[in-house]
Amino acid sequence: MSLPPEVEILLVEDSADDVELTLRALKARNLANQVFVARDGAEALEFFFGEHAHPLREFGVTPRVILLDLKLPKVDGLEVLKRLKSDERTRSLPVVVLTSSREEPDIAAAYRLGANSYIVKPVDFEAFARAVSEVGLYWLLLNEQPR
Amino acid sequence: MDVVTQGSSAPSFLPHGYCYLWNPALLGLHLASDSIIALAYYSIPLGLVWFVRRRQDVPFNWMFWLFALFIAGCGTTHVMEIWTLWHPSYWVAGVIKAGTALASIGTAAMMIPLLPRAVKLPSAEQLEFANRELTAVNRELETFSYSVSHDLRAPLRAVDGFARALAEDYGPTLDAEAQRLLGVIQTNARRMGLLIDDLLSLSRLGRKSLEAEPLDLAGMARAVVAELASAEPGRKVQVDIGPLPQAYGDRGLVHQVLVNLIGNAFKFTRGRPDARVEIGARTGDGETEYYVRDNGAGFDMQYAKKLFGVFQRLHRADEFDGTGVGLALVQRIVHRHGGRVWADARVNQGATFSFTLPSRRMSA
Repeated sequence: MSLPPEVEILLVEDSADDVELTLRALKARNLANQVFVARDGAEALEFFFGEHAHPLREFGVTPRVILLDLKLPKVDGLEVLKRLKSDERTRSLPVVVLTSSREEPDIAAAYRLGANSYIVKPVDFEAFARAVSEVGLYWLLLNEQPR
Repeated sequence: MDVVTQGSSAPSFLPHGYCYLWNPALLGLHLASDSIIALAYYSIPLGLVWFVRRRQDVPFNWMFWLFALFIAGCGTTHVMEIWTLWHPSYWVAGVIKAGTALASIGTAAMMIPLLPRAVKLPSAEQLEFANRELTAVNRELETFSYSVSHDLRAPLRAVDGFARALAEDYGPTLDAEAQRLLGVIQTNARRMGLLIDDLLSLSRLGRKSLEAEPLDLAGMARAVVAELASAEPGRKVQVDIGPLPQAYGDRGLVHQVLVNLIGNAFKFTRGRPDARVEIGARTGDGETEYYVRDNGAGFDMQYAKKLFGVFQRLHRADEFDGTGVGLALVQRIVHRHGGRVWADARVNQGATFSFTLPSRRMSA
């Protein structure tokens, strides 16, 4: 399968281990060529709305899918989601909530705030890899977004 | 009081009105006052009886009945006061008064030793306070289960993931023993993942509200059996599902009860060529007992107490898999429905798990 050159994923994840595992999983499906990692909620918001010039924004790079962990230092995932979905510029970006939490209030809150999918990271790495790369494939290759 | 002789020589009593010289105003005053007292004394016990019948949980319930009896007796003495204005039935009035005296002294004698215990009853404020404390503890537990869900799973995922990464990247250079050790790490990481998931579903249960509806247990049991059978296509298990009376309960939760009990029956008959599972019901004493019986491994009844505890297992993991949460979950669900669950078994001769569920909508 040949991939479009502009495949871009913003991964918002504070755990270095989870970042590494997620990248491995994406790499296994050749989806890891352009992944940007934000290590907390503030960094993710800086990417989109920051006052300082952001190198990536300068180049007009917009991620095509955001993988968002819910439990983040500084600004938590639900807050990031709320900001993204309430701003005209970012509202149409697909956000996949990717978290350890299986707690129902989180799931309900994430959907209420406009999350496009919700994936509970399984403990089993194989299942985790499958979940991550299926999400990547779906949102990057199959889903038609408004341009 | 005056005694007059009427015809015969036997003396007889005069009606009370005679003492009042049949003065209409005085008669009217006594009549009205005694009537009102009697009316009040009869309505108080009626109110008390109505109250204790509605609130069977009230402590010292019987004391209210005694009060009711004593006050009703007092009411009757006032009715007799009216009667004796015109009819001199003083013996009847005296006997009724004696009965009331007994009821009064009995009530007093029963009530006084009760007072120290009544003083110790928690007040509404104390209960309110206890309730607030429980709510706080409950919230803490929720936070706890949230962190278990979140914080304990993440390192486990890393353990499993990096063990696999090691196997993938360096597998060829590792000898068989190193690969076996890696496998042990991964198996245990996954097992702990299952334990955490099960524990969380147990804790979620406490917070979920019950949505009761009429349930066709036989239909639900058939669906569970079909699902279990399709998960193990190689196995032959004879399943009998008897007619099961309708129960009232939360569909999702009762489904979990059936999945666990029937699942256990399937699990513990594994390896038996003549595996048999029977799902039936007995009705008696106004309630229905549903049961799931198998002819599998069973267990020693001396461990029956441990059966429903969290993480308690009566079999080694290499005999029968499991996390030890299933029956704890079953017990919690059945208790939340106001039912009972118990087991009966013998080693190698199978087990029977029975439970009750309400047959009608619960009032609370």
